[in-house]
Amino acid sequence: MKQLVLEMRDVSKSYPTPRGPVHALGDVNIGICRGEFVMITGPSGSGKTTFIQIAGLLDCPTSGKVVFEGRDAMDMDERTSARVRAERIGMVFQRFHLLGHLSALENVAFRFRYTDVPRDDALARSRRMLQAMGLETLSSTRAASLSAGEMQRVAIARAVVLEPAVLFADEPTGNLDSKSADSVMDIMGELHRKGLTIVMATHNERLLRHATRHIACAGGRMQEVA
Amino acid sequence: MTDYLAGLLRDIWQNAAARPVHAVMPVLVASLGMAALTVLLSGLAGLGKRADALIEDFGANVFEICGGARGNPLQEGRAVDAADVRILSANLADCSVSVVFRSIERIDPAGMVEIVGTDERHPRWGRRKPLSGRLLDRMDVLTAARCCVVNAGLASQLSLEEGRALVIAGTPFVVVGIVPDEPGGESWQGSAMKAWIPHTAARFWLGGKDWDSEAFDSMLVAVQDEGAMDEAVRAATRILKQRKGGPGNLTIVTPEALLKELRSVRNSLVAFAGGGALLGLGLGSVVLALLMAANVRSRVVEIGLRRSLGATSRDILALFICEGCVSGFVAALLGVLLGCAGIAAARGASSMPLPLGFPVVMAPMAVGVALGGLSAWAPARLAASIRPAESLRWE
Repeated sequence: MKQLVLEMRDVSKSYPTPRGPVHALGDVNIGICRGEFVMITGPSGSGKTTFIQIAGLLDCPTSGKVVFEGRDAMDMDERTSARVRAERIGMVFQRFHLLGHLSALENVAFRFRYTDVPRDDALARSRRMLQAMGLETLSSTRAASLSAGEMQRVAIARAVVLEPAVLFADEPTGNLDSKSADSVMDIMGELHRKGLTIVMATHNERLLRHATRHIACAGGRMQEVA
Repeated sequence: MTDYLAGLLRDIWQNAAARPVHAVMPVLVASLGMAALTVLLSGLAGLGKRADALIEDFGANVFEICGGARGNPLQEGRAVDAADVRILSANLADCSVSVVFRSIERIDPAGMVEIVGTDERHPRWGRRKPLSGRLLDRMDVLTAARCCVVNAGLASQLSLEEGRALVIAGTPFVVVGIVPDEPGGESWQGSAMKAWIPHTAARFWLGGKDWDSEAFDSMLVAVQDEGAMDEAVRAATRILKQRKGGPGNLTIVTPEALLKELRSVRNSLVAFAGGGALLGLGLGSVVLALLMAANVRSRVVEIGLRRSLGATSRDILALFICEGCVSGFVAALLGVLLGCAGIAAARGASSMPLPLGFPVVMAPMAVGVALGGLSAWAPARLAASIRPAESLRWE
């Protein structure tokens, strides 16, 4: 029996606006098992990013229950959920969110900033991760000087260097040309083959071939696609 | 804890290196205020020392009768004569009247030395024990002996000891005693080096054409009972008025009057340097707060990233408050250095003691850190309240 990493039950999210609440997600029921590569597709504004942020414990649902590795996220205090984010969740963003003034190595090592891992150990592990991704020549290059594809590869290295339980990727190829996007998806595929659970939001259905499971998202509703 | 602090400091350093203008500008503005604060504190400490020195030198139960409206005998000429001394001695009960004859002489290699001609009743003798040797006595005065008592500063400058000669105006005076320096360092005339000789010898060797006129710079009247000070001052004023037909160009300087003058100097210093410090610190903290707020706005995505990597809102609050404190500390450090340079320059131009003790240096540091933290408080709270989901979508 496959082990559930993330479970959402009747999760809804709405944002208050001057013209009344906007419903970003409605009654989402989903379970993600260890080792899956789940791809969530849908047009812009369909609720993919909201889903990723709630699943990644960066946001709270308006109603419903989120269970991460057996623990109810609603019962976690701020410190606990921050600890889970630091140690069990990796995140990759469309706009990379690297710190431009730091080197690639320092950006990867920044993953350890809010953990108990000693600085030297963090740097050594980050160096090994860059090597594994073929980025060792860029380790001392400032992030602001990297190409978009290189930035996203460094961002993936940062997300997975701490061996998280789940990697959440929100449109990781959205800002990349097709060649860089392929390279990023190859890395994702490789990470999945090594056992990493990946949940990726994208509007590019061409990438579905990498996934083991497809969920379509439209108007805040999510539907399993066979 | 050490790792946490090291991480915070590394973050602050990396951010400062990434945005040097944002980091340096408020620090420079605040450092000017800190420099003014350092000078102000040093000035106030110096005035306190000067007040102590004056009272110590002068004596709390002593008043001085001298020439000139401001009571500066060297500037106003010698206005007191031997008859004044005799009349006051005879009419002021329980008071001891001593004379003072002052001169500033160049004694190489020590430089300018204040020479005080006085007698065995000089009030300072009653309060101070010599470090070595003895004080001037009645016989020295009666015989116009060429002997002197020097302070420790002069003795050390000229390697003087008891029995050796100090050459004043070309004449050797035998050192009979060494007394401690005044607590304020420099004396009334701004010289840290002082020698006392019998006034009879002083008038002869240093008085020039006036040597036989029996004129003195001032009289020091020591009142045995401090409570009778006001009565003694009133009596002296009455006697001198009767004798000279009015106060004329004589001034009676009491410890209270000296302190009043010092208080007025202190108030001016507080007004000018304090105003400068307040303006600099106020401007610095406003600039710091504004730049901190701008800093938070420009780092919204970074805040979101930190939250996604496991930072709590308290971590974000601590980061920005620490940034403020570090900016304040660096501003204070720069300000203290600037202030020290200013004090060093002022020492050359003024006789006022400007000490640079632990409190003078540490107080601006503490003020800087506190001010930096306070300026960063509101922007830090804003940063901590930003929701990570929103900040990661920030354009």
